[in-house]
Amino acid sequence: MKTIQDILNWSEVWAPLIPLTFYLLIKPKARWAKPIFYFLIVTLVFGIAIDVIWQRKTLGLNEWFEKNLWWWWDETPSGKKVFKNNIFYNLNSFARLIFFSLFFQHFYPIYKRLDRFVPWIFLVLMAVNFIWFEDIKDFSSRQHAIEAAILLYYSLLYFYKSTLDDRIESPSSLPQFWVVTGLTLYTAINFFIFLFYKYLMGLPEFKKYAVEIWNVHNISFILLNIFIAVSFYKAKKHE
Amino acid sequence: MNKDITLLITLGIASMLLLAAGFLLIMVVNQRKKWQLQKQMSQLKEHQQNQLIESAVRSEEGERHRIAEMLHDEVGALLSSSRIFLVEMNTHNLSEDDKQDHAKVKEMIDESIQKVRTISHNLHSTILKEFGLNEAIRHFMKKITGGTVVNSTVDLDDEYQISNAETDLAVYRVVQELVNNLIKHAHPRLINIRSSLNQNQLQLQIQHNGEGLTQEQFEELRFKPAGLGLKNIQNRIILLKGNILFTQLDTGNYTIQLKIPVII
Repeated sequence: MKTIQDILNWSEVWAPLIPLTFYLLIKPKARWAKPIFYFLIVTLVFGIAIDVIWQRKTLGLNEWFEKNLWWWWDETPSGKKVFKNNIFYNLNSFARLIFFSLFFQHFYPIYKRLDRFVPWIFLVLMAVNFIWFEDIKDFSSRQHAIEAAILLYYSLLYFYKSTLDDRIESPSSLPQFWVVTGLTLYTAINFFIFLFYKYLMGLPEFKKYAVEIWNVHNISFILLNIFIAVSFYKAKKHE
Repeated sequence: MNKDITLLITLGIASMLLLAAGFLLIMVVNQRKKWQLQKQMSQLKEHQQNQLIESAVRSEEGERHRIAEMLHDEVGALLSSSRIFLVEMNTHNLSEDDKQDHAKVKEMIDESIQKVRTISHNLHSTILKEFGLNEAIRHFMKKITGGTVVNSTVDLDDEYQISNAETDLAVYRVVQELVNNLIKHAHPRLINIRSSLNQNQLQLQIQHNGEGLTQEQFEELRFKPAGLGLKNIQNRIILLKGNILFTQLDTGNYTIQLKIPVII
């Protein structure tokens, strides 16, 4: 049981390696694959940072963190010293929106029109949020939920547009379908998790439930990465 | 309260997942159905188009047949009768000049009879019906290049026997039209026709050293009003469910490849 939990805990590090390996081995030429590749690199870097900070005691790095990154430490109202990794979740969320927006641009013109303002409005709103309302070092449920809603809207719009597209015989035969399907499942599953995560973590009686429910996020993240790997494989077969 | 919130979140996640999965499923099923409908529609359209082409080709063949019969039975018979009268005419009392004119008229009538017969045969090939496609092509090539500067070689696979009279007629007409076009427009010095039979597919290759067409030029020309012959060729190829390919070789020569499915 502990092994499974450990595997899930480290999924933010190992899961992106699956599609990255596929990408580097088969090198698909599809133009839409580039933003996904960059997203995977960024999410891997943030994933390593998140998990290393989280597991620093298990890894025997706590002393090093205390000695060299003393300026990062925060103190809770109860006087407990904590080293937060949530800034990487917030940055990862923004990177995810940007790279998937670039990914969707390759399919229907409506995305280009949306991209002219949606990511920028999101950026401005988040800047306002982190300057006046939330600490960037805390997990932002607002940011994550809005980001998931936008990406879910993008995904559903893709499916709607492809339904109207007479050139498509079978949607699943298109390689990008698998990325969009993975993203749809990921955002649909995580919308409520993101929305309530901060609230749950703030209440001691829900902390255990919040940690448990994060496993669902990890499973959906693994699924997303598997779907991306499938799409790279199909993209290569399409060439 | 605790239970309510956790239940609410769990239900929220489950319903979002179900909604997304349901949406995906409906989308895929709908798209498949739509595509199948479109496929059926295009098949129906293609079928109708083929029927139109078939009836056009049939009526053209019927007209050719009728003209050939009229030429042979009426004009040919009239010319033959005229020749008999001319031959039986007493020429002893004619002057030398008139005798020369008489001989000239007889020669012209002979030539007319020959021309009528050739045209009639071209319009309605009896050789094709009696001796098959290979013999008809050989005969046609001999006739069309005989007495001209064009040399021709014909190397046909004799394993191919009559498969279907309509197929043979269509292939023959295509070859006829292509060779006529070559002589008229490409001005070749040499035409080589070869055929081979591979697994129920007749492959015919016409190679020449004139100014031929590439596939792009053929596609462009067949949609022009002047390209009626090329349009006819394409229609017959569609009916035969075969394909035609125009290519220029590295040597500068041109080839036209026909691939026709046949039932032996």
